[in-house]
Amino acid sequence: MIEPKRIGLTPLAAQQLDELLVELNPAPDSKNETAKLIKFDIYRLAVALGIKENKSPPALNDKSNTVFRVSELDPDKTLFTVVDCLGSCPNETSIYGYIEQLAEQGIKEFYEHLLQRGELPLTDYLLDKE
Amino acid sequence: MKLQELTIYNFMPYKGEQNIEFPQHETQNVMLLFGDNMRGKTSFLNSIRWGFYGLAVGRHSRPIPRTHLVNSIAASDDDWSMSIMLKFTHENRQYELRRKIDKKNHVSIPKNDGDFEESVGLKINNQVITGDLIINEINQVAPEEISRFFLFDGELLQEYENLLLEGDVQGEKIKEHIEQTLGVPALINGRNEFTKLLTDARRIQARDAKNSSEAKTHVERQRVNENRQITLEKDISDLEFLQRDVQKQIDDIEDQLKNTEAVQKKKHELDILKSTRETIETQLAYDADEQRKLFQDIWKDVLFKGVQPLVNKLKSKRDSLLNATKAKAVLDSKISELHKSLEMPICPTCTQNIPQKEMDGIEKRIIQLKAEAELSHVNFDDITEINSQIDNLSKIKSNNEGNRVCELVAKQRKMQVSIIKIETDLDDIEEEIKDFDTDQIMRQRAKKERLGNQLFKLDSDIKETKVSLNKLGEAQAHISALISKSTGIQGQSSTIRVNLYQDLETIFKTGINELRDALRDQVADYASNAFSELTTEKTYAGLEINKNYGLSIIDHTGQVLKERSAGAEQIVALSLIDGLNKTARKTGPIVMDTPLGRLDPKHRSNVLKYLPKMADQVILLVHEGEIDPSRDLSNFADRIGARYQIERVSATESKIVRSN
Repeated sequence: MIEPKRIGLTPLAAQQLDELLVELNPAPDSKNETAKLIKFDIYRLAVALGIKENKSPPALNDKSNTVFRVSELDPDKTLFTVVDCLGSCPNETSIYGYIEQLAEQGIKEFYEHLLQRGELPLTDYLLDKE
Repeated sequence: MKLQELTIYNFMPYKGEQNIEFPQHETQNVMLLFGDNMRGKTSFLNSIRWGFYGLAVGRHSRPIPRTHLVNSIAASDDDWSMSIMLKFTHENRQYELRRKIDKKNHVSIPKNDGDFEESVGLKINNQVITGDLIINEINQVAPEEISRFFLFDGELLQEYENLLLEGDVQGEKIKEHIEQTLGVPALINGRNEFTKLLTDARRIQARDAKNSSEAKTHVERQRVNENRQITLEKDISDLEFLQRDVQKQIDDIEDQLKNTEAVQKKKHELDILKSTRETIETQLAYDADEQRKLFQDIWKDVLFKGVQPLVNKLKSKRDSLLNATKAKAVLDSKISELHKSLEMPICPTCTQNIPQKEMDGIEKRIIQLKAEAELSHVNFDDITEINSQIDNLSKIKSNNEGNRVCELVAKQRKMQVSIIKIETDLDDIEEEIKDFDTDQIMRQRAKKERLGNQLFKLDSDIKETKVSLNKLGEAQAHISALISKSTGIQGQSSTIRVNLYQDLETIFKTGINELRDALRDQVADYASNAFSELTTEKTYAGLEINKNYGLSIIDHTGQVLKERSAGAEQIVALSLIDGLNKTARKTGPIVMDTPLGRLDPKHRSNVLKYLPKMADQVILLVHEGEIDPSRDLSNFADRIGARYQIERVSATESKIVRSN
């Protein structure tokens, strides 16, 4: 399977990612906050959570808004290797295509949770339930 | 002096005529006047003060304007007359003092003191005393200067604490009054008289010395000094005027601030809450930053646990491949050995030819081993690939970011709850104080502080100027001595007069100091005795007096007690007043307004037992919180000669009724 060099999101999820970024980053007039998140940070978390939960994301229903270079998103091919080793990627899908689907699904869920609860339920995502 | 009767007419809350008879019995010498706050206890005290001296005082001992002295209901009925009649005895003489004010004929509604006419009448043993002599007669019985020690407000007893503060303006004022009570002014006035006479005598001496060439220079110096003295005296007078003005401004601000004490407290609370909110918000921002930094690597932490089995699996796979590689190498080596045997069929041990049968076996074995080697064949790219995957997966490290973010979220929630609570409190407080200009209050406080600094500077300037003036006085005395010794001046009547006045002035100066010391010791003794009866702490050794008449408590080790309670301050102040009364005057009434306000029950009981001994007549103006009629009266029931009650008629009118 040929791996794509760029992956991204549907325009809807891309819009949602922008909004999530605004929500998670400090307000423009904030004086005390300096650390800022970039799109990759949320994108990678969405993929990692999808892998962890062994999700089976649907194919993107819209033309992918391919804005991310794979070499920048996953410079060490870490995400690729994990998916590859786990063998969770369907045969008919490229690994980065699968990663893109996981990101799309994860970001949509993030956005949904944000709308419902007014914040990202990070504790629900991250708390070790074991 | 013993008070007999007081008749009040239209004075402050007392509309119409009120009549009070004071107890005359020697042992039943206590009169109680009960009244709730705002009903007119302090006005009663002021009625006596005004009757004697034509002065009623409010906060900071400020005179109350006449328009405020006339009962407001009577005034609204256009009855602007107000009077006080006091009957008292002193040294077997009967006094009847009447003081009255009424609006002037041409005034329709009085606006200030000048719109009233005041008349004073005094009869002694039914003989009318004429105008000018009245003040002298009153001063013989109860001089105005000492009134603070027999007509006093118990709530202001704490001002006596100022006597312990070196250089305190209020303390100096009280000291002045104490010395007036003790009679020191007689000597001070004497000294001042001689100082004045001395100045005049020196002037005459200087005129006489004009013709003396020897004294001429001294005379000129004396003249220059005299001019400087006049300038310095004027400076002192100006500075003291300024000092009073600044003090008045401070008092006014204090009055305003006192009314807004609750608001100031709330404002202070508000500021603290705002500052706490700011601290929490800063912490929240810091934590949010920290959370975002963790967020950047959190995906690795999410994958970390799942990746470990993968890495192990890959390592195991790689190990099997490596083992297969090794096994193949062994097989290849064996095959190679066997091939050599086929090529050279001689036994390496016995050097005999290997039989064909054996050779067939070797061939079979080679085929078998080749088959096995074929099965153990490993593609090295696979191992490289696995190594690469292990490397990639090993880059997934965890610094426990997930749990740390969860901790931060929990902390954040708590802080947000705190902020919500603070904001609710802030809203409540802001609602409570919304009608007050808190900025103005803060400005007033800042102004008061500035004025306080100004007052301190003025005080120190006055002291410095007085020191210069004293030095100048000494220089003048020295010059005067030189003039007196000059040829042609010696023996002249002006010189004899200068010498005489100088000696007398010195005698008075020395006398003042000696009298002060003696009186101070006496006050300290009396006050210590009173204190030992009033205090509930019997281990205290007594009281120690300082040069300003400030009293300190001495504990059982002989050390000065550094901190004392408000109640202890009141007990010490009462002891001082007793000491002053006993030192200054043998007989006389004491009228106390709210004297027990800050005392606990045991001290209250001690004071109630002791008060009847403090004076021939004791008039206590109290509320039922200070003396509970059902409980406390038993302590000194046999000393009560009369009991009155102030009853409310309306918010602006009260009346005094005798009770059983």
